[in-house]
Amino acid sequence: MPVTHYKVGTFPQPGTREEKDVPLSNPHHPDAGGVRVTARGEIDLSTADDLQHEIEAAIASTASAVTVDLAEVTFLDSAGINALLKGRRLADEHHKPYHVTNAQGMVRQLLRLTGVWDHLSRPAGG
Amino acid sequence: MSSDTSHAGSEEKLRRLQAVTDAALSQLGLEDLLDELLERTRDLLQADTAAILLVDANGEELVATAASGLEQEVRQGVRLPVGRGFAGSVAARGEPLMIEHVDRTNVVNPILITRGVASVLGVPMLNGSQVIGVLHVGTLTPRRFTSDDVDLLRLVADRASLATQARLSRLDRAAAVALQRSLLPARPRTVPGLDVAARYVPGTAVGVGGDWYDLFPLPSGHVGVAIGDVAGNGLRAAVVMGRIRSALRAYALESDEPADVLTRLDRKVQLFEPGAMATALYAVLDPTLRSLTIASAGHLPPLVAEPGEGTRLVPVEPDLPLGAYPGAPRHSTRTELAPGGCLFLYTDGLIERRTRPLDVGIDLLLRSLTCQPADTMCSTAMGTLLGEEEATDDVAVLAVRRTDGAV
Repeated sequence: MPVTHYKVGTFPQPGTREEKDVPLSNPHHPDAGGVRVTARGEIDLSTADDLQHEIEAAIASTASAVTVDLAEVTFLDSAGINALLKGRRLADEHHKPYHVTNAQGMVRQLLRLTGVWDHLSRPAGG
Repeated sequence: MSSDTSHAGSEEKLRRLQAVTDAALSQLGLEDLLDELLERTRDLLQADTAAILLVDANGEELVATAASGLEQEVRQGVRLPVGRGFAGSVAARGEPLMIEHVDRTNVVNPILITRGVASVLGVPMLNGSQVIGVLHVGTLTPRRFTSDDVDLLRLVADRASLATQARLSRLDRAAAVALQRSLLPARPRTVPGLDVAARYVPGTAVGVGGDWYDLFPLPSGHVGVAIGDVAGNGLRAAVVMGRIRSALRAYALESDEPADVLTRLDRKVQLFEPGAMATALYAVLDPTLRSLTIASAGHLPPLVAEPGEGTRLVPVEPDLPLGAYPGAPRHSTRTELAPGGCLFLYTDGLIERRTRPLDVGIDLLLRSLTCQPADTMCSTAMGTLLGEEEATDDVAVLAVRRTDGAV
């Protein structure tokens, strides 16, 4: 079964596979001031809503900027792209810098082929 | 009466179990099934009333759906707030609830009061952990329901939940399929000088989705060719697809410039379909059929195949998907289509797999397709890319071949 984990924190914690028992890092780390949403595994119709909620929560938080890290995402479909694009809109409405980073392999390829990569990876907004 | 039920022997328990799990019930339509279940439940529990209320689409209210001994609840279309009163509390907490002495302080449904119901027992109807409704029974004389009563009522609720869920998803699926069929003719309309074919296959994992294709002659002599994919699946995606498809046709009547058509369409989606997102590719063939102008809203690039030439990817730089961002800039790309040449459009379901990069899928398509009769191209693409495996996402393809022979 594909499993997708999300966590919200200032720093990604590579190698950590659990979601529930990982305490959330302080989202208001003084060095970064931003919050990082780390997505893992396959993001599709069944998991995209979870990612969207995490992104929405991060944008609604007091963090000064939001980064969505896709380093550990192995598959993304149109529902996943949808969630990332909605994040961009919402962040702009909140005047909060937002960008998507670290897309690898086929995930990056899909984001390029659908013309959304520049739009999502540009640390614009605010 | 309570001693009757609490001391039911194992034979009696078995009889009850059979009464509500009776396979013959499956033969009934949903309304009859629920009515019959409620009748049997009343009988088994020696209750005077039994009713099923289902949570509405936005999860805020319970709607009386079936009743026995309390028919006016359904006739009057009773709606009760989730979270308040007796049934509302069962729905909100997802747990059984018993009220031995019903009065205006503990129920909000006036029908229970006027009917003279003294005691009630309610259990949630569950789909996984989600509460989809409430089943309750009542007696006109005060009664303390037992844990056996709760168990039996839970069993009935499970049966009713299963039937309701199956029916609702069947209805949803049937409506989505009907809509998709009505909007996607198996054979698009004929246009002089063009041989056109298409395929649509619902995904095994998602059922009918929001993919569509379209081809239409315009009064200006141009021919519009479109393909798109509304994110999401089921009835909702199919309905949004229907609206986007017809809006595209309307804007196509006003402009022969694809980027312009997609700009207008995007503005419409942003305003009237909040939250919706779709990729779309819109191409316009000029009246001579020689020149093709294409704009892409986040859609995968089309293929052009020409007799004696190889098959190539048209380098259409995609702009943002429809609904992605207000005021996104859009542009068109122009390419030539030689006499006898072929154009092939597809949705991501054709090539996207969890196990292989997109470019490998596109490459496979490029190598397998040559300029052939449109129907052959569709068959070849579906055969090569889907082969033995079923499509998990829905798939749409559209092939167009110039048959005008003009040189």
